[in-house]
Amino acid sequence: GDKEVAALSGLLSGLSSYSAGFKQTLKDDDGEVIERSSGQMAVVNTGKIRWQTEQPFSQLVVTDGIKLWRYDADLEQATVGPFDVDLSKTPAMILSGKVGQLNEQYQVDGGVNAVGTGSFTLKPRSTDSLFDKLVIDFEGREVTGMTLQDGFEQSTVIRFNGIKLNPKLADSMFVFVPPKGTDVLEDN
Amino acid sequence: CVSGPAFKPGFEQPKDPLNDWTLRGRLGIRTADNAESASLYWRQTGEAYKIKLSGPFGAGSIAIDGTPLHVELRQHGHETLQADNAEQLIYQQTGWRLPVSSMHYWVQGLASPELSVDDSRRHTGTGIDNKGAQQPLAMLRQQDWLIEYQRYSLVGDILLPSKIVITHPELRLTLIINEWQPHQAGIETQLTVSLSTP
Repeated sequence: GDKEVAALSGLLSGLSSYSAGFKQTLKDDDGEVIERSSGQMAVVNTGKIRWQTEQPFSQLVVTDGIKLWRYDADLEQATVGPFDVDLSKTPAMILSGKVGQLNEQYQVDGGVNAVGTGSFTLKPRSTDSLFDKLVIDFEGREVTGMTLQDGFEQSTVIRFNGIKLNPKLADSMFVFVPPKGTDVLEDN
Repeated sequence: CVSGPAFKPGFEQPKDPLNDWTLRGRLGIRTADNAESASLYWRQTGEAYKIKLSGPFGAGSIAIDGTPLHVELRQHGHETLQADNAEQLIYQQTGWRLPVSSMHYWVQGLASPELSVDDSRRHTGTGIDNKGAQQPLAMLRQQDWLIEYQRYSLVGDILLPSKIVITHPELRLTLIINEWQPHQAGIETQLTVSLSTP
């Protein structure tokens, strides 16, 4: 309810920027691992996101809040297009704090204890969202992980490590220039 | 089970098809006006298969469960679709033309028995004794489909493709296979050594 939204917004607004290594595991409903990947992420709460998967494949999802690039190095394929509001519902975007109407978009429950440890559960109010439930785990003000349930099949568990709160992040980190020979598709 | 194909003389399958395996990797799809990429999970058990395609953060995943007689496609936030043919179902739902039944062979470096083999070329001198079988395929043309095997990996003692580019007049599919798990006695290791052949 409102109390939980205020608590979560308070914690998120304290994050002007955030960077960490991540490990992501996708599992289907009978627990089979669909994908295991790891890499580095960085977020600025003006809506800038950099999500670089390094293993076992190289994929970059990066946005400066205006344009969004998606680059698959192995596939030598890149798409660039306007920052897509739908993507604004992905977990990383919520971390970026560019979630003005948190309460309008999500039903928020949960909370953190006195030392800032606990979890919030977000359930999107709209039906066309990318997930049915998102759990954000906090440990002493650090977001240590996120879990997405998409309702019918899959859960995505993301754990963060080497967390830096409010690091200085250069703007150039949130722009992408495709290497020569990359097949780039303008997606407008 | 899936028996070996009968091809025109002159083409010999590099080896027998594996019918029980799991692969994990990436699928890139490029058409004239669209490009998509997804994580690919494919579990084949005899003639039954489970394919899962997922976008970043596992969003917008597509699950396809099929047997030769019945196919089901589920996508978050959509109705479950059923049909008796995977190709038509996937095309209807995503607009992608994925020749699933032929891909079952192509991902293993084999020709599809459902289409004629119009041209093929082998890798030479990989230095790998493919257990006396034919050298692995470098290129295969089956009707409208051109399949190029750019990278192979040694999995246990079997050579399996790890980068495949499939080109069709309307689209190009790029498959990167990061992890092969043939479910057979003695071979539980997945990707061991990657060897890029010319």
